[in-house]
Amino acid sequence: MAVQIKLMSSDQAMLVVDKEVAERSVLIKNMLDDIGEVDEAIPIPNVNEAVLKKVIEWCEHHKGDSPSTNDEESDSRKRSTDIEEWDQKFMQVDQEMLFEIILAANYLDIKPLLDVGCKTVANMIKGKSPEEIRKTFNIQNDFTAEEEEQIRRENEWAEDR
Amino acid sequence: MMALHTFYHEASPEPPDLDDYTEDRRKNDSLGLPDHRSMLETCGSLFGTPVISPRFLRAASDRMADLYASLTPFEYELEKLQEEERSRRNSSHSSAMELDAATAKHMYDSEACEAEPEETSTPKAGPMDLPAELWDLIFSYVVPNSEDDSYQKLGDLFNSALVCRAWAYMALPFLYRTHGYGVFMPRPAILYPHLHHLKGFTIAELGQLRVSSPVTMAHPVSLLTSLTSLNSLVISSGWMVSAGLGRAIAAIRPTITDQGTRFNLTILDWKIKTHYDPNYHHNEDWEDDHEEYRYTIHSAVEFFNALNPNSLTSLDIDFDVRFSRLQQGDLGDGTIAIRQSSSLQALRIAHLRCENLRQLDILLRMVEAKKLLRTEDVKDFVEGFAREPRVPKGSMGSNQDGNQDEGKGDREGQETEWEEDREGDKVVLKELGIDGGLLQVAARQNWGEVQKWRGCSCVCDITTAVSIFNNPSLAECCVWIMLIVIPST
Repeated sequence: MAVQIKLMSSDQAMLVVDKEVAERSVLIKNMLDDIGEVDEAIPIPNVNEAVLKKVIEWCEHHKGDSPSTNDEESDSRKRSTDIEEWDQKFMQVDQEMLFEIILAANYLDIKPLLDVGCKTVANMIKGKSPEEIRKTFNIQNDFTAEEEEQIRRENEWAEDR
Repeated sequence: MMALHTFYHEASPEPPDLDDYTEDRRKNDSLGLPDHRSMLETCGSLFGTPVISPRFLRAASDRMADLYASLTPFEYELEKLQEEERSRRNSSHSSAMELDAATAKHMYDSEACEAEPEETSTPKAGPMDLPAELWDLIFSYVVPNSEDDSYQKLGDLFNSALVCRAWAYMALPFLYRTHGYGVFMPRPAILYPHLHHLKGFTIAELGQLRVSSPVTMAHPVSLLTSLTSLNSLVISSGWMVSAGLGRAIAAIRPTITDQGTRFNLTILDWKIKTHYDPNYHHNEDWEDDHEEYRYTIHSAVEFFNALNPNSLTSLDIDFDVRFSRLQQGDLGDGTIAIRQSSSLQALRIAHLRCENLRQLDILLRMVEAKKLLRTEDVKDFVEGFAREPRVPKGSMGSNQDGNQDEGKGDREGQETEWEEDREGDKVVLKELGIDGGLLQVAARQNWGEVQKWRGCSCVCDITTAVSIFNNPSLAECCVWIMLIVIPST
């Protein structure tokens, strides 16, 4: 039977997961390496239950993945925004959850999940006009007309590229 | 505000306050855990949304000064911008967003009662913010394959830079890094009085320059749009020709109508898109992949379309990739040099050194499009050059098909003729490694001019080139803008 560990979310929810799954997180893996076997729940103070469940779902799906090497990471970056189909569906969540997942992946040090999240956001940026981007991310345009014109003028060389 | 509030709401049953924050930090520290909330504070809001930031609540001015002192100039600018933005927004929405713990508690209570009218009047906030380093990662994906030098679309980064100030600070460096090798350059208003003292910069030197205050970022091409008082612009560049570069140059001086006005454009070491440079990394089948080649042609034509030749009184172009890239066997040491007579009104000298027939083809396409060489004489000259295979085959063929005699014979003939004119110059010709006959065309026009160019043609070492072109006698207002000075490796 697989060894299981307990994780405690920020909202005090207890989640039991296979150690192998949890160790997709470098943070948790290092912690377990340091402290050995623990019966107590490991606190994950910056991740709430809903997000932690999503993260665990991702880790369970990818638990068989081999750890990426630096070369693979570099290659992954070159492939840019290609996202596996399962990951695409996984990331079909509302924007707040998406950002929470990214933050959690960063906090828990799950680089592949972080990459998937960032790629998803990058895809949300691509092909959009500035106004569409603002609308997508609910950003207020704080440029003055002069500032916007200056940026347009100075970087016109990049506009049609 | 709302987003961060939500964060606190889930993390703690109480409204956010410094004690909670400190307690969380303490707990995390005791567990050896990183705290991404602290990263949120550091980066501030990239959505232009006011954020309750404990650090800024606590920070006295002297502490901020300490913080700023530890930042690089860019980080300092970003930090300052974000803080100014927070202040501005907090001020404009002061009724809803006071930055003290009591008001924060009030807002917490208010949000718990969603039906309250003041809640609906609060501007809608953005989603939960991300730390700056995560946005950095996201923007790196907006730029696909940022370490590759192949053609990449920049429209997404450009649009991102236009979203808001904070995004501009995040996206522009990516824009500059991706295309242009441009990093950070002083603003022209600061730079201009000293420009003639500046040498060209390497990337590393530009990086060093950043520590000199006051420095703000601007892409070198962006700078061009601001330099409206120039008489001469010298660009040493592996810069990829593009419509944008042409437009930027054209912006310096609109169509020249005053006879006394001049604008000399010199582009050294300018390769027309170096995808064909075998020293450049590309796919194994690059020779069969004509897509990039087509883009090269397209890009070069667009450059000249945008350049507005009527704004130039002279144009000097030097294509010489040999010395800007590590030499490999494909290039050989044979070159095709085309030098245009300096007697032309619009284009004083067009000096093109073609390393291979593809570049020559590009040149000829330009000629056909009447984009590069604008007089019939020059056109005939170049077309005649192309019609007579002895020159290109003499220089390239001697390396490729072993036809040494033909090329050698041509050069010997030229050298003999040259010796009759200027005996001492023969040595220079050999040093330059330029086909003697072609160099002769220019040399006869103005030998002194050729000598000035010698360092660039021969050495293509930036320091040497700069020292030559910084000679005040060359131009009263000769400005160097080094768009690129990097080795390919």
